[in-house]
Amino acid sequence: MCLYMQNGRTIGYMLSEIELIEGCCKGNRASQKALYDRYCRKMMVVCLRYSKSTAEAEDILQEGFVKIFNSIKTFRQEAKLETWITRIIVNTALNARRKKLYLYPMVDVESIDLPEEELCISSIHFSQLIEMIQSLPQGCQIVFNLFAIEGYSHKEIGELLGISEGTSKSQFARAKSLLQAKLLKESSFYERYGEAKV
Amino acid sequence: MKDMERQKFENDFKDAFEQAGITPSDNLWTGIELDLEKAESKKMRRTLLVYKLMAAASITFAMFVAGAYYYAGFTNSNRDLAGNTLANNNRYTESPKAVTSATPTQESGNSVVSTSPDKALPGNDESHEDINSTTTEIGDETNTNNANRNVEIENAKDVATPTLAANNSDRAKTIRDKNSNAINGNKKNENGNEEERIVTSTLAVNNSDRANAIENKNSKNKNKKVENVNVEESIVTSTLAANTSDKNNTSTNKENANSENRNIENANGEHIATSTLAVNTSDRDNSGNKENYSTRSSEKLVKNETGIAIADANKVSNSNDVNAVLNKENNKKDELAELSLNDKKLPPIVKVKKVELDFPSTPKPDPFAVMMAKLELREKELMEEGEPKKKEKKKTNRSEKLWTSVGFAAGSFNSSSHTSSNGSAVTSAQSLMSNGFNSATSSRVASNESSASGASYSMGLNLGTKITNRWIMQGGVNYLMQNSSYQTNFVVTPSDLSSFRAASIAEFKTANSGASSDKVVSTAMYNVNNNSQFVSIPVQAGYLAVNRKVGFQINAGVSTDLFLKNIKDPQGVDIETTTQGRGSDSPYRPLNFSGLFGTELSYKLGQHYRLAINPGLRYPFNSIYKSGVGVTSNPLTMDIGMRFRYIFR
Repeated sequence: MCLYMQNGRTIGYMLSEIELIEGCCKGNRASQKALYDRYCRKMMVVCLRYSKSTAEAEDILQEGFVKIFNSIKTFRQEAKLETWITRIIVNTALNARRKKLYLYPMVDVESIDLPEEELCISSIHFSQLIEMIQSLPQGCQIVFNLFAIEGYSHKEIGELLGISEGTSKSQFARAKSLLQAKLLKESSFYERYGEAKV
Repeated sequence: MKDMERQKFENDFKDAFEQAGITPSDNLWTGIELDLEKAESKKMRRTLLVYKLMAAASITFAMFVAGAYYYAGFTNSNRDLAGNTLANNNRYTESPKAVTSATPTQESGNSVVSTSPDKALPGNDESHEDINSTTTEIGDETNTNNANRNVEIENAKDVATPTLAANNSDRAKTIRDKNSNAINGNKKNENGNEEERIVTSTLAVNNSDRANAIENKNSKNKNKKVENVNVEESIVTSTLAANTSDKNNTSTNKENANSENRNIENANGEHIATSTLAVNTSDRDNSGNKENYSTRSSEKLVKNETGIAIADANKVSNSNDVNAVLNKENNKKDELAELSLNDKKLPPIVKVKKVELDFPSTPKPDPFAVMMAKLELREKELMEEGEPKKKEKKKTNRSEKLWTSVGFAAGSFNSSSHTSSNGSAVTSAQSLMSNGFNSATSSRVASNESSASGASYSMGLNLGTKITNRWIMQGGVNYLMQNSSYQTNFVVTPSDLSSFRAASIAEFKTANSGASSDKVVSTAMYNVNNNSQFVSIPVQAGYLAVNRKVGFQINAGVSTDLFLKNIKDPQGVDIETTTQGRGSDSPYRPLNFSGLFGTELSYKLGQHYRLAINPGLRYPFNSIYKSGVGVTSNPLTMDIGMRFRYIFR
């Protein structure tokens, strides 16, 4: 248990990770709620990255947390709890998207050639970045998330999604070029109107 | 450079989401909670189901055990009855001399004299002496009634004993040694098996009874002992024992007369069975004791046990009384204390006002939105539930294509036998007549053996598959064992009388084939445990009348039974156990075909298991004996089994 502070004031005690896990293993609803409160915001972003809308992201988040609480007994504490939770959420998102991927099979796509300009992402708010990712085609969106943000290799992505390594690479290239195009558009907008957009 | 930039691009994206967070809607936790509760209720349902199944399985098992136990008891009682009837019949049919000589002595009531028939087992002097020593004259008129009663009860044994002893009938002595009878009886008890125990122990007691009767002419204790051993009269003895102890205990505890009497009644009630057992056991163990301590010691035992029981009961009742009194006193004290406190209570000086804090109410989610969200959730649930159920239904119908099962069955068989005048086991050549292998003897032995009914057990492994939606095929390998018991009063012995074997169809077949020079001699009636073992390969077709969680199917088919061996285990003294395998000298057919019919009531436990109870019938198409033997036997087996099935797919 540790002190939970906000604006320099102690407003309560925060349960440690182990206490949270133990409570969740016993099915303690308060511990489950505490765990949810601790990770829901971060996981919402993960869900948004893999979905097309907020509602869809919330569905994934709900399903993911139910899975987490039901299988927390299997958590061996070899990895960080956050990493484990993120993996479950990503898997849930992939399962949800997989059905749609059957309808739109991933095929090799050509990348778009863009001017080699330095792009500054740090100046863009993450919510905008999410919107950009959401606007990507389904296959590109997933491959980009898995490769660029989760850190999977193309081989792993191929095995995970049942596609070839080449398809994964081409999907990523396509995603990247699309994003770059969007970012260029955004940066030109900033240059013209300043950074007061957000 | 380009790659570096691209790497930077990916890292920038990763970093941008590193600390990012968006709060989901408030209803999300409600949805998670609902899902968790649903999952928990499912778990509970599963646990309940497991308990229900366990309860059902245990009840089934208990019923099965109770049925088997009841059946075993029923079979034993039938066997005993059959044994007694046979013994009585033999007495009047086979040993007319013994009967005629014994009857007047029984009627006179003063002496029991046994005479031996002309044919008997020679060579065992010790046994002859023992048996002869049972020929005792009782001269006292006061014991006449007891002696008569025992003679009446043990008619069969009285005949059997003189038959065994018959060899030395000429040397029959009138012995007044009371102890020899008891010793003889004790020896017999030691040799006794469970099935024969009643007969042998009665014999022992009968003998010792005579001894006792002679020794203690007017003793009531001795009469008690006699009654104890006879099962029908054991209750009387226990009551007597209980009464005796009752008196003793009542006299020792005078202070708490009323309560003690009650306790004594209870304790006696509890110990009736024990005392009977104690008296019986000690009777059996000490029947050969010279001074006949058995009755006394058993009575002491009974007294001691009852004494302890009374002491314990007194303790319990006394402590209960004391507790009750203490409780009452405590209650009274509490009530008084409460009353006095209430009287002395002063009115409060300052009245404390209750402070109620009025916090600004937390923003509540719109109830309509919550309701709509819940409805949406419910709709989704229903949609999700509906689909898997349909799939499950299809799955259950499609599943159970292939399974294996292990099973055990127990039951009984009744043999419908027929003995013809032609056959190697029945007819005998003139040359063998002198050895005792005559037609009457052989047909009697053959009839007894082949018509004996008994218990059947089988266990095995089966494999089954579904042919169509309703029809199945199953087969496997079973080990089948059929136990029966029959009585005979013949033994087969070599000319030098070195060993004795039970007279059986196999022995008569061997003798008739001229392969041995053994001869048959008559002896006392004894039991032979007949055990036949087979390997059975059943093939059955089944119709699934009910194919759900609870299943019901009707099976019919054919079984190929391979004869393994037959073991004859005689219960008599010094008679060897014989094993008959397959072969040309065997009277048993090496291969049999039987018809099978049965039902199977099953319950599915989980996805891969099914537990079934299967009552069934088995009837051999041909006799288990070879055609040339002259005896046919087609035992109809009725059994009930339990099968545990593992479903592969």
